Amino acid sequence: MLHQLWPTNIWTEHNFLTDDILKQFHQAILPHIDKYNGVPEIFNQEITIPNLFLDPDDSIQYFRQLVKERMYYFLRVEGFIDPEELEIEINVFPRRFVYGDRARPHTHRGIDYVGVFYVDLDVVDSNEDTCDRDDGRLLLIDPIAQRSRGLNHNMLFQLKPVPNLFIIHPAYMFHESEMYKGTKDRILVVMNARIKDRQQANSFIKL
Amino acid sequence: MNVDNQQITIQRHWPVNILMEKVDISDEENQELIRIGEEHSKEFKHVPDILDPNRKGYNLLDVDHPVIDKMKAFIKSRTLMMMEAEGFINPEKYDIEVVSAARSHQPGERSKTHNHRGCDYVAVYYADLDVVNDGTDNFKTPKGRLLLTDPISQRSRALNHTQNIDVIPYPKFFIMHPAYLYHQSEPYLGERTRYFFTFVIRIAEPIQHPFYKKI
Repeated sequence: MLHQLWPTNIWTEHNFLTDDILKQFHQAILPHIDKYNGVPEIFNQEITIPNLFLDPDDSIQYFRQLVKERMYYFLRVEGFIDPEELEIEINVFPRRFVYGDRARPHTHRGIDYVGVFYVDLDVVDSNEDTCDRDDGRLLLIDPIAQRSRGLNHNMLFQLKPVPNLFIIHPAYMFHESEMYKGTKDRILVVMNARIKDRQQANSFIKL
Repeated sequence: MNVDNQQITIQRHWPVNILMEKVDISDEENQELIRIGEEHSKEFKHVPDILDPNRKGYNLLDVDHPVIDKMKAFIKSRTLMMMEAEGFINPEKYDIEVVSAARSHQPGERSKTHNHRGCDYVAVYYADLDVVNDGTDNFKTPKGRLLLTDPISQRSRALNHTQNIDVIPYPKFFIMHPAYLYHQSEPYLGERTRYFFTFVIRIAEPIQHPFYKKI
């Protein structure tokens, strides 16, 4: 028996919404995009990030239910005991990437899971395995540097974004978006989730 | 309890040491290095095993040439400096093993995020390139920089975005860092070929290293 312990679980789901709902959802989130300017605090200390799930639009609330189901399923995969007994808190906001935009390698501190839902984009990919060209992919980076294998180059898991693709992964994992090379705007929704710890979550006090 | 107590130290353990240097080398030697690099690398592909399992490697430091001899001495000196900073006791007593390759980037080429297994340090000498630096941040758009990524993900600070250190390469620039550190080259934005030399370095510790056997 070869035990495969502590895997990094990655949820990918294509065709997440039906075509009709995807269209409705796309229209519903567009007015929200410019409320978040997509820069870290170092560039804009006044930044605030509103939560898309506060919008009562039917398609947004439907999306919210699907995300909730997937998140609880994911907690089971991650080994949580009785995940349905736990509360999940989430912040969700849409983003826009134009030609040439990217996201540098980053993680998310203080939360547990990160999700992304690609709503619309041009699929521009060479469909080749490369190490020297940007293909607009989402790169997931092996969190254990010591085991990385330069020879077969599997320290990166390369995902090709397509419309209607939903992804969840642990927040500790470094990830980056290569330069987007499509013509039309790449519209995506970002989800940051934390699991409320029953023992301590309500006991923190402000210093 | 005195909040203004002065007897406080914040100890900074286990830093990631990065050596950077504007190399003191003549233009003639630099050009000769580029020439030697081009001549000895043209038959070798720089792709990982997954793309070409039959590719062959080489060591530029095998070339018998005075400039290469100087390069060897330079790398040894800087590795010893790094070992000193990293807390090796008597670094001089260790053998330092190096493999070097001559590389080039054409406009738009990059190196995806990677690190190096089975070795201790990695270095790059940028012999020639166009410096394209508009002085602004590269948060959304790559600017041809070398990015070093914080190896400890739990402490990453999204709010002030210090997970990445940006390095702007220029001609005759040298950098050495630990091999475990994830790094990437953003797509090169210059027009003329970017010539650079890579060095993969391992410290041969004397207790076990001489006794490894092939099985």
